[in-house]
Amino acid sequence: MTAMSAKTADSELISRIEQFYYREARLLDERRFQQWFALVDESIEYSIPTRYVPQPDFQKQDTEEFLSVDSELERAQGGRGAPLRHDGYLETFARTIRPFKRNAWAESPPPRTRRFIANVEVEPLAGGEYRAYSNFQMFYSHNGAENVTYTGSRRDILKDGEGQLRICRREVIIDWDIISGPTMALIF
Amino acid sequence: MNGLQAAGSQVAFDEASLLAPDYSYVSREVFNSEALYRLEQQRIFERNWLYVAHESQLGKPGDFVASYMGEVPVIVAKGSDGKVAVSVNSCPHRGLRVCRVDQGNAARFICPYHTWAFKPTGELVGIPQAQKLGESVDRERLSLKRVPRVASVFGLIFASLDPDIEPLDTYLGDQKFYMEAFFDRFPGGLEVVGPPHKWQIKCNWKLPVENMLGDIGHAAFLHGSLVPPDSPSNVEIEQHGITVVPSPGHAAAIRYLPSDSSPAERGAHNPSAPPELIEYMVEVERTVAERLSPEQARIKGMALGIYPNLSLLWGQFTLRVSHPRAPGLIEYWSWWLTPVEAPDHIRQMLRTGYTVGFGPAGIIEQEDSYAWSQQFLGSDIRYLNDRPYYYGLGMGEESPHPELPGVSGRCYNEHYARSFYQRWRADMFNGAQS
Repeated sequence: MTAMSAKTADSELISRIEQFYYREARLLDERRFQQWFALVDESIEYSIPTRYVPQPDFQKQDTEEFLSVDSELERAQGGRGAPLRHDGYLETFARTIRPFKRNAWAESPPPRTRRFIANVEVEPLAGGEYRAYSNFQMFYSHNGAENVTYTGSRRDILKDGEGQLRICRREVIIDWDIISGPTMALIF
Repeated sequence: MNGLQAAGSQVAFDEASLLAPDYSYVSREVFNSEALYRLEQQRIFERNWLYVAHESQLGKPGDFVASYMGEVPVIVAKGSDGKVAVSVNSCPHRGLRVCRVDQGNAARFICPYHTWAFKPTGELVGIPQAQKLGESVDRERLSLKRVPRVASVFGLIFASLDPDIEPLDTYLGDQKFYMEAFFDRFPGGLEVVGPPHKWQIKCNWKLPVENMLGDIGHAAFLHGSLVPPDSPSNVEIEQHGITVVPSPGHAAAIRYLPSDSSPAERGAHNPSAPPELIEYMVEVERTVAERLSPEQARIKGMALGIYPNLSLLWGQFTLRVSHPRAPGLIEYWSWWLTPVEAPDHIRQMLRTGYTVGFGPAGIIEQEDSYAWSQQFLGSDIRYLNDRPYYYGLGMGEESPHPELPGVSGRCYNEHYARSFYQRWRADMFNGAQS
């Protein structure tokens, strides 16, 4: 994570973004996916890099870079391999509309989810945009005994327009290398 | 020794109760039995050719990937002589893994416990303690155990723990005709870039394999919210979809389009793909008849299965291996393939085609994982051991294909799975000497 820029957010802005995240989490946990989709900007880039364990670069020993999280990520941007997900507006829409079909078998009946958003940091950017970091913990319960906790961080770009915050970019960094939950086709 | 005593079990299986003679019924125990699972590790995973890596992952000496052969952890590495070696990832001293990462380039692997050092290809480099004691060591004996057989075809690296296994070429036989139709379809070939996707599924390892050997008809049902039964792509599957079994255990699920079908029909795997991507795919189709054969040009593939646990999804450009971990647990590895000559913007479109539907975050694949793990719960109902699963759909409809190698059955004919279990049975019980 980069250091905070000189431009810091005031507490009112931080609180506004936190409230946005709580509302977003509530809409998703209440399965109001289309209401959530209204918070998504048309320019959305929603990505989840693939996380793996690379051979460490011994040249970088004793430096911060030696343990860099970024070196464990196969990203959509810059990477030529496959991230776990790299969705635009259309793909994000497809993920929010599908659970409402009775034959979306993996989600019908739906899982029960509970999202907790924490560790929010806000950095104002030019043009009414904000970079925001947050952590999430999502409890997922399905099929009776299938109970899993997903954890990770999010790096967002939020846009402020017409009194409404919208998500322009979200990168989800998951804490697993081998995915140990039943599906990653969820909205984090 | 015979049957399950080889696996150290007191339970003797009545082989005939596991599978009907014509394979129209398969017992639930084939999926949930711990004893059968242990026996599979010896008789299937130690005696067949297994996919371990793609040649494009090992460009230069020292490049390596960590992989598995069944439950056995292995290192696949390119040596300084340019040859690929596969060795078991366990220190001969106290058994720790000497390669503790997924992939990369290394000069040496160092065991954390006592700093024994090995080349990526497994040869012992040094034992610090022996040096201090002034002892000489048997380098051959104290290297990582070398996997005896390694061979490549179409860029795919296979290995076998069985020194006496038939050559890979013979093992694949006519399946190579279908492999060639995909892997040599793109001028310049295909490559794997970046790490694979890895995820756990609470299912038996055979079900994903079976699914991709030929269950081409399940899309309109399990994936009906995305591929409706009356959609043009499903109509095409019902009309032209066949599964071809060149030899039991291997199969190809394809649409065999009419001889007068156009490159546009052959190349449009996903009609809702961006026009530039469709154009690219159609352009490739124009030269396939010439470069391969007119028959291979008519193949609009869906999936391939190489016995025992390698699968390919053709239109989604993904290779996958079902690694067994327990009767009801697998580690599923999925590599995204891309045509070497494809420009970046085409690669990105192909990539989106894969990640939206497939991999652990895919909206299609999550339904497969769901079905496979639910099947295991069903297999675990002991009370239903007298109700084996029905595999008899299309029984007897299959016949040798007039133009393609192998026995062919229409969409929904389950002969591909019957022949898989025929091969499985032969491996598990016929003349097996432990």
